[in-house]
Amino acid sequence: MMLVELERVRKCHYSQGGVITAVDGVDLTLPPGSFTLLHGPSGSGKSTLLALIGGFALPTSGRVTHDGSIPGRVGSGRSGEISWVMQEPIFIPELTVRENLFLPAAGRGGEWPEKRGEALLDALGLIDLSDLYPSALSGGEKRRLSLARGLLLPAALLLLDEPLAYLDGDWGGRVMELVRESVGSSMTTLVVATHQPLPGCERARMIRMERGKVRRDDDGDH
Amino acid sequence: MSRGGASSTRFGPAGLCWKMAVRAPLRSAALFLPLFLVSFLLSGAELLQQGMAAAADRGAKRLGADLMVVPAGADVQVGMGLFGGLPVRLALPAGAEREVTATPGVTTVAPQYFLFAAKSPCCDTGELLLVGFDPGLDFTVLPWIRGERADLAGDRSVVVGSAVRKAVGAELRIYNRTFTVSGRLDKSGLGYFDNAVFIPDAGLSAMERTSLQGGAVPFKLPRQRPSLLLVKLSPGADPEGTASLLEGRISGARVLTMPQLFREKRERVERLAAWRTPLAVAGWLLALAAGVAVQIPWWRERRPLLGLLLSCGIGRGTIVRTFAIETLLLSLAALTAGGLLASLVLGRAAPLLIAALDLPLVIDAGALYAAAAPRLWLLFAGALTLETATLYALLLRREPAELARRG
Repeated sequence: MMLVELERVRKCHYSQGGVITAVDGVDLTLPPGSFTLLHGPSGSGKSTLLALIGGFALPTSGRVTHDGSIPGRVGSGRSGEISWVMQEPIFIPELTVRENLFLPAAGRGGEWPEKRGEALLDALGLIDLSDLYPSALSGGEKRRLSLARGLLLPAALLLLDEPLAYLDGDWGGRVMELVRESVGSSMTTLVVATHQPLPGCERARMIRMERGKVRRDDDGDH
Repeated sequence: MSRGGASSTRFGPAGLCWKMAVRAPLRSAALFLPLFLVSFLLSGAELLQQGMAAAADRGAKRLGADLMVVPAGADVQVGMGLFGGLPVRLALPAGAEREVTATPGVTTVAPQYFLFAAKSPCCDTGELLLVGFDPGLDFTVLPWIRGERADLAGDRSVVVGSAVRKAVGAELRIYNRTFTVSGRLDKSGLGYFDNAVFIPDAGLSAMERTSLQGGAVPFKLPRQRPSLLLVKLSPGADPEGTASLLEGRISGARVLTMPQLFREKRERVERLAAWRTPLAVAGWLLALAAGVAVQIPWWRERRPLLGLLLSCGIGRGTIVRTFAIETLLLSLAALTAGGLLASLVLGRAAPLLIAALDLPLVIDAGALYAAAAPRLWLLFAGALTLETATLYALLLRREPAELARRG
């Protein structure tokens, strides 16, 4: 579990067309073990805020802290305890489905999460595809693999960006059930960015974003 | 539980790198091939240059003479025979041997006859350079017989050069005369020593007789007109002065000192050596450019993967180190393979090059690897590794979120 605090966080992207302020002066406290939903229209800054919360992007101004201290560079310190499922699934094309799943374990010592990986492949309907390469997967299968990778190792902070995109049928409910199961026992701080209602998340804290700002924060029963 | 396939095999950053290298053969080959080619060319040039210099030194030592008297105007044939080991016909003016022997300062004169075997059933050697010599006066052939001193008594013994594929004890039929190989010479890099069959005087006389029997091609030794004279001078004698004196006294003969004989070859070595540095620099730049040309577009396209690796908790230092080591190993493999192929090709082609280009040449790959090549290879591989590490370090300065963003 992890306490995340954001103080007047602002993030600008610089491009040839000028400066885009993706996140604009956000103050936020995410208590350990909390479940927060970031929602809002496309381009409202949800994904950028998620990356800032995880320390995967640095604020242009303001401050982000994890348990009271500014996170170090990614790949050092506690960054290994943060799991980030990106909006667009990214895979290493030369690795099989199974190898892509175990990627987070490749950078760490300790026990190889064999059983956990197999269970996730099974639960997410990927077990029969595990020796294929990612290019052979459909959009929904890629999304499920990306989620499985995010859930492979126990995380203090779990960030999910549009977890239900491309998922059809009853996969949305099954995925959210799996996420809740995974974080429930470990008091993981969970933040989900989404533009659509998520099944079974009615009690989560809802934060609505528009044009980089927090427009509404329903500090729910998280 | 597993229905789909084998259980996962543990892998770390090194394993990840290995899988990517093996399963993306085009990228690996694009890095490997330019280096392989550069190494092949540079090692080849280095081997040629070292081989020519070594062969020129060894050749001068092997001849053991202070002067060589050859027919005037026969530079091409002398080159073909001496350096290429090709069958040539050379004849000094009659009486030249007597004039040289009578010259003050001359201690030993060893005449040699350049002959060749006939393309006829009477010679089972095919066209081959034969050198007739007098074992009583010789100081060029006998000292360089490999192993124990051969018994050249009688008229059936011959000595063969290192490139002639006849073992000691094997038989050779030349002009209807069956000879026995009594000794083999050390490898010299001079065609004359390596490709010829050396026949003592007694054997030549016997061969003259047998060639007249059984329908063989008649063979006649031009006894008064040897092909060349190898001359030893007394200590303190001036080789250049003696050479001038002899040239004045014998018309139709050219007298060469050993430095003169090998001057043109040494100049070729120097010309080749002059190309070595620009070639090395060009090769180095080509390798660097190839590295950049391969790595930058590859990682620009796949920049999101770096964001993924970072987000998976693999540190920047680990990523830089892993891919730098991959480059180092791949470079060293390519450079070693190129060098080995160059030595293999040149080793095999050396007799051809010697004959075709009249080159004194000894390919000694061992000496090359012990001396220059590892340093050069480490320099190349090190430069590429540094280049890769810099490239990755620059790319990884970006935030993971920025790296992961497509487009």
